Amino acid sequence: MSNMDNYNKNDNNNKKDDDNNRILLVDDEVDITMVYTMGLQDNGFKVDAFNDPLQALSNFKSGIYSLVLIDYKMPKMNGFELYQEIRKVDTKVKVCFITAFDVYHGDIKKEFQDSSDSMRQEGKEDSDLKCIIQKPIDLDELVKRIKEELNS
Amino acid sequence: MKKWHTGKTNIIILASVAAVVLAVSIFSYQYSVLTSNRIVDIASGEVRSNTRIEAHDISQILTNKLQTVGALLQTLADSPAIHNNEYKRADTVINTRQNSSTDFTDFYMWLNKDGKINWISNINQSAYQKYKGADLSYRPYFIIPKQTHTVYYSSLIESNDKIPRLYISYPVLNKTGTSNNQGRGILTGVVVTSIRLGTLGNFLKDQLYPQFNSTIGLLDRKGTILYTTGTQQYAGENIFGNKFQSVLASSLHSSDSKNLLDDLIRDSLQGNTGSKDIPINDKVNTIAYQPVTVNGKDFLILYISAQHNVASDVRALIIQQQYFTILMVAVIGGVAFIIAFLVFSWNKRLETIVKVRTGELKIANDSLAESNQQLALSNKQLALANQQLKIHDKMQNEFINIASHEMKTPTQAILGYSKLIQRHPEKRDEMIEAISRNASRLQRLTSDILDVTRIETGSLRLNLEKFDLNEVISDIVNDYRNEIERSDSDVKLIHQGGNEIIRIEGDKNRLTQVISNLVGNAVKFTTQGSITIKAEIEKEEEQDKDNALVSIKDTGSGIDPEIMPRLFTKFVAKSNAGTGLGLFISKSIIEAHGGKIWALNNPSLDGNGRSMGATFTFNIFLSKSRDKVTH
Repeated sequence: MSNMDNYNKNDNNNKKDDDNNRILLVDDEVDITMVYTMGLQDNGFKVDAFNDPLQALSNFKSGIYSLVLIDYKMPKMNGFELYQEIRKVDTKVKVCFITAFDVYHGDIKKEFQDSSDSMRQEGKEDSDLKCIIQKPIDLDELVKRIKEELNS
Repeated sequence: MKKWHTGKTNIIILASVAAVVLAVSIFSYQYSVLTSNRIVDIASGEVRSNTRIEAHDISQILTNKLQTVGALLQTLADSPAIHNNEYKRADTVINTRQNSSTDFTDFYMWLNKDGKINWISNINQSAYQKYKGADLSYRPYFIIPKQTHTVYYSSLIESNDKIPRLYISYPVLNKTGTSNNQGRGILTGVVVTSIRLGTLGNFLKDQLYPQFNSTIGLLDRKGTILYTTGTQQYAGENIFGNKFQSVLASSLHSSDSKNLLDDLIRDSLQGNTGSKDIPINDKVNTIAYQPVTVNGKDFLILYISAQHNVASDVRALIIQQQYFTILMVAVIGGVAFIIAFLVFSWNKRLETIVKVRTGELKIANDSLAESNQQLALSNKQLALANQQLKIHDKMQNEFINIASHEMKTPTQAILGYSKLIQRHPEKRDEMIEAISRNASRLQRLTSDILDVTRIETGSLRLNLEKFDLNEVISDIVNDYRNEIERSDSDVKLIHQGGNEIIRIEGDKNRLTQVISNLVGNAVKFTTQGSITIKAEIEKEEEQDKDNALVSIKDTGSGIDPEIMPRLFTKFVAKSNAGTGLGLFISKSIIEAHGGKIWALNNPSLDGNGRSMGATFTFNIFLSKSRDKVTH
């Protein structure tokens, strides 16, 4: 467990090296952040992982990350709320949601759509939400999806 | 309001009926008056023309009669016996004349040239001796023919025998030897005939139209009354004389009538023909006058007077008609009134019926409103049920989502580590441990979800057996003591009163699950202090209801007051390592045993309001034999 924490910290230290493949990962489950971080790092990504969304938000800075990977269901602040807060700071960063929900899948898209519409009305551009990643996912598949999203 | 309105309407209708009846009466009266006037006019016209015709006819008859008598007298004057003064023959001739007109004339008389009686017709010897040679030369019927040598028609003359008579006289002229004397011969005598006024009156009376109720009057040219119908008491009186005028004044109340009558008489005495309506004794009389002209001379004036009896008859009839009409109108009005009254009372009855019906309708309406209300209530309840159903549906979805999330998370970990373990052999042990941890978490979750499913589908079965509660608690406490020791925690686990045997009837495995869950939670949330587990028997008045009370008291962080009301529902009180289903399952198991479970935060001991941990308690009947366990 302690080794894995170090693993994360090492990653945090490198966060300014290459902005093109730096990813912010937020999930309340330690095992999930651990697994996803390792999977992404193995493929050359730099990952900043947080288990607390509020902590993640307070550490967020515009222009650092090329992609934000957020778990939808979290205590204190859910993924969508975190996404909206992040959007206030950085309008460009790409976003992928991770969800284990089945029923709420459609609801997330709708919620995102409504939010995008209101943003457009405010003159802010936003891309449609295409990136919803269903848990559980094979780590190779995860990397593939992230790459696709980054290249889109 | 409505009643007043109806009453007013009734009065108006009744007044209308009365007005119509009155109007019809007035109209009918006016019309009958008009009709009666017209009928009176027609009748009066009839009377007038009849009167005039009668006057004309009778005057003509009288003229003819007088001319006939005149002619007889002329033939007498021209007879040779008279001319030649042959007394013996003359006697027969004169008697013959009298016999031929005995119905009219009283007698024929022959006077000599000095006005002395030669012969009187049909006279007996003694009378003849008495009157023979009597001097009548003073009489106009001798003087005037003697002077004029023409026929003379006298006015009324009071004769020597006091009988009023008219006289007609004819001169006897000897024309032989006097042919140059312009037809005038030498008067040798006068022949005279007389007509008694009584005879004349009877004659005239016989001439009156029997069907025409009229009276007759006859004046001579001087206005002397010769004859009036009914009485001879005025004969010989002048019409302008005191005696007759006073009679007129008493019978003619109006001076207009008197004037009219005077004018009429004056006009008639001048030889004119005419007629006039004169009211006498309140009745209109038509008086027609016509001169009786004999040999071109107005000798007498005839008056025919007829009362307008028809008018009064007509009036009487019309009045009768009016009475009848008024009676009819009154009857019709009465009938109308009765009908109106019937209609009103019928209306009133109808109104009452309508009122009753309205009342019934109102009651029906009210009950309808009531049932509507009930329907609304049912709808509300239905809406509520629907809402609850929706909530239930939503909760079901929520459960699936959360369960799905809870299951997929350890699955993701297992899958991830399994992949990573190949790439990172140096972290093999850590990852195997992580996989094992996630696998057991998944196992717990699976087991709990299965329990929830059993509970929610009502298929949770209890395997009842009798066992000692303290024995079960003791085993659980021992397990957790080992765990606590392994984790280097200094929390004390106390089993209070563990020596007492509390035998209960229940599902041993399920109750073990409940107690283990509650102790496990206490251990999870208690970092220091103690956890005290106690089982005791609660005695009730009914022995059947004796139950065991099990409490688990910790000195941990206590229960968040926010989640306290929903503490025993699914996924509410979820710890990091827990499934969030334990308390829900425990509650369901206890309730399946007929018991109750509850939780309280311990009262603060340090006075700072800080929670001193929580106590979970459940009770359970000692004996389950008396009621069914399954639900």
